[in-house]
Amino acid sequence: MSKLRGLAAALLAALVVACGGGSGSGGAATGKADTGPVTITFWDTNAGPDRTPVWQELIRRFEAANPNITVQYVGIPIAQQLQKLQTAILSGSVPDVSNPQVSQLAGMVAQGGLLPLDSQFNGWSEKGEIPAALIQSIKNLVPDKKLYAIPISGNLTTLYYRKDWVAQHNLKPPTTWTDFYADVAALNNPAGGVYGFGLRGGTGSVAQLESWVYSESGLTSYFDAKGSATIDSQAIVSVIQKAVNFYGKMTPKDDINHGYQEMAAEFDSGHVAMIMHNLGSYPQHIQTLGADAVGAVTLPALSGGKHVLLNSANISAMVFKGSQHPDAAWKFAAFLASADSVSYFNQKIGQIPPNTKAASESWVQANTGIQNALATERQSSTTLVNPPWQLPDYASIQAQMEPEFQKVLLGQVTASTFASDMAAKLTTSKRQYDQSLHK
Amino acid sequence: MRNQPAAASAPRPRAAAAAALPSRRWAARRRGWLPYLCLLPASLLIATFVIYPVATVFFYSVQQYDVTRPYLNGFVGLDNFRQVLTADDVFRTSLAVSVKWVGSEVVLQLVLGMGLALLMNSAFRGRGLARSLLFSPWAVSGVVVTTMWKLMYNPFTGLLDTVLMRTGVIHSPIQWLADVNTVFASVVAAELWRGVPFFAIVLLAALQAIPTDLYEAAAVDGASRWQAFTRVTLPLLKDAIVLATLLRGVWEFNNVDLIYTMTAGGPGDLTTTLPLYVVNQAIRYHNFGYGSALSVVGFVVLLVFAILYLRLGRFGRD
Repeated sequence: MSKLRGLAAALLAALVVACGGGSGSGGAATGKADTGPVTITFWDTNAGPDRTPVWQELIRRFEAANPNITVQYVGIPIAQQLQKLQTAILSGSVPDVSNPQVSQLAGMVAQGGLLPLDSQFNGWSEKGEIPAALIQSIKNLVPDKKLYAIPISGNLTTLYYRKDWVAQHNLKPPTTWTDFYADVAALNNPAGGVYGFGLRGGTGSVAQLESWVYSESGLTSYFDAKGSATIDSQAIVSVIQKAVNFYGKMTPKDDINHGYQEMAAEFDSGHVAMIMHNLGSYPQHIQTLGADAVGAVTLPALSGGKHVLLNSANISAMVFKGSQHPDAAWKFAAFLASADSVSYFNQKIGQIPPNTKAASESWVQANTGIQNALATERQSSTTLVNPPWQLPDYASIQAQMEPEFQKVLLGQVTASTFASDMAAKLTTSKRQYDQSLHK
Repeated sequence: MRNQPAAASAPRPRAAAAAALPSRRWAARRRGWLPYLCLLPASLLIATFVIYPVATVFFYSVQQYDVTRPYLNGFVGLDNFRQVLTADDVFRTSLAVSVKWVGSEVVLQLVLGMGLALLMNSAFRGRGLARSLLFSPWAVSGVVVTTMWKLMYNPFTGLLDTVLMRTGVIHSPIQWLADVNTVFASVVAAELWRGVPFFAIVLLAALQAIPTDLYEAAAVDGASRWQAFTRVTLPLLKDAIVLATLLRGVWEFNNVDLIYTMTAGGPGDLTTTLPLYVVNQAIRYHNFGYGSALSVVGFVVLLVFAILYLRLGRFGRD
């Protein structure tokens, strides 16, 4: 009998532990200083053969400098990271530190998942090396205007093109929209197995499309003065229609299912002459095709030379409220945002170091993709447009619109209906969010 | 003990009986608890891992619960169900895709599985090896099946297009997973490859349980092979067929892994089944309340289907 009772009690205890316990680093923040050896967990939100070794090297350097802290690396594929992070916050089994883009910040703050870092940042010796305007722009994304993310890497949508093919056909590099369309048409040769353009029609398609349509339409704001979304304006609908007209004629038909990996593979294997993606894939293209074959420019200029570019989200270090070792977590986050780490990371992945000391290093000057992006951003005629990252459900709206964009490509829905649906979602989201701030 | 006087031992049984009374009561009480105690671990596990999650889905189905818009969360009554049943076009198309998916998968798997089971039930050299090879797709995970078939469907490097073009059947690659006319059939074919062995295993086991003297009697009566199949084999396989098709129907209705990894429900909604729509709502769009309402509707659909199917199939009755 007593054995049975013991067994039942043990089972119950095991169930309680199994159901109630989170990860090793989960649970409520204690706020106590970490005195002994601690282990913290780091979730990499873009794991893969290119980036995982880079993070692992940074972890090795950090652990060498901080022998009391062990960092456990957990790699998550980029397509699943948002869902994993939001579920982790919901279930209380969060990592100590992660590296999402700031475009996800508002949603995670709305869930109450992140730790404000203002006091730690203000006492940090390297804070002067991160532009104050950049820090303020991150604070502006959340209602309480606190700092929840420290930037590690900057980005910009880039047009990659086959420089060698453009030269062979005596074409101009696609630095204006007119040249872009001319080059795509000239390089398009479906019979020879080469298409002029690789369109992203699968995961991430809408975010990519937004960069294109705002840049070519010249619109500089997501919302008008009345708070209505501008994505259904005629200027944008006509650009969406141009993208749709490309599909199947200037692009492989299979593009309708392509996310980043497939699109990049299509470019690197010589099946398409151009793709739009951010600076992060630059090293991969150079490595696969060679520097002489790949051109990288910002999205083209409007007639008159003016650029309208959509801001790309920074990769940032964020510390989670559920961390049991917030001091160690901050130490690691600050290490990742330090000049040495930022320089190493961005050199490896080909993105912009958001740190003045790191940005002055020689490798930055040698990277033509980054130089082109920085030069265009600094032009007085360039307008940078901020996507509505402050809306916590913005990423969800983009995801909801991805199957709708596929319907447009299939001819089941018009570009105008697609744009109206997305505009309605954004307008409603903004109205609800604004109302929540005034409650 | 055996040589002790009877007088001295006479009162003992009564005393012992009196003393044993509480312990017998205790034993009886213990016998009363014991079954419940034995059931307790299983009950706790079921309560924790089945009843609680299912109850949670029902609870959230009447809530607005969207983690990206926490300021709107709260009780909404039947609003989610009203939206699902009256204003959600994707729900209607996803239910239609589910019906088409379950119907085509179950029917094709049954027919092909029956053929393979009959083949494997006959005696031939190398039958053991053939059975092992035949059943191996059943052990392959959906994600691996997806990877394999996506490689074959690739329009630039895939096996299918390469073979068809080299043999002159087609002159330009077929975009198996991007074409409105081929995407559904392509996904069905991949799942068919994985699912046929299930039917073959179940039907082969049932075939082996049929006494051979029935076939001998049928042969004596002059029955052809077709008549033996329709009059002897099929009636005796009825229960196995009803159960296997029901289980497979429920399984295919809830199938997410292969479709999600192969097409993610696209292009558009062409391969979005109801469970995939639930995944999109709850996991991709973070709208757990609406996703829960869709799950409840799916649960009711399956429940009604299972009851009707078992009744109409006269399962367990001759």
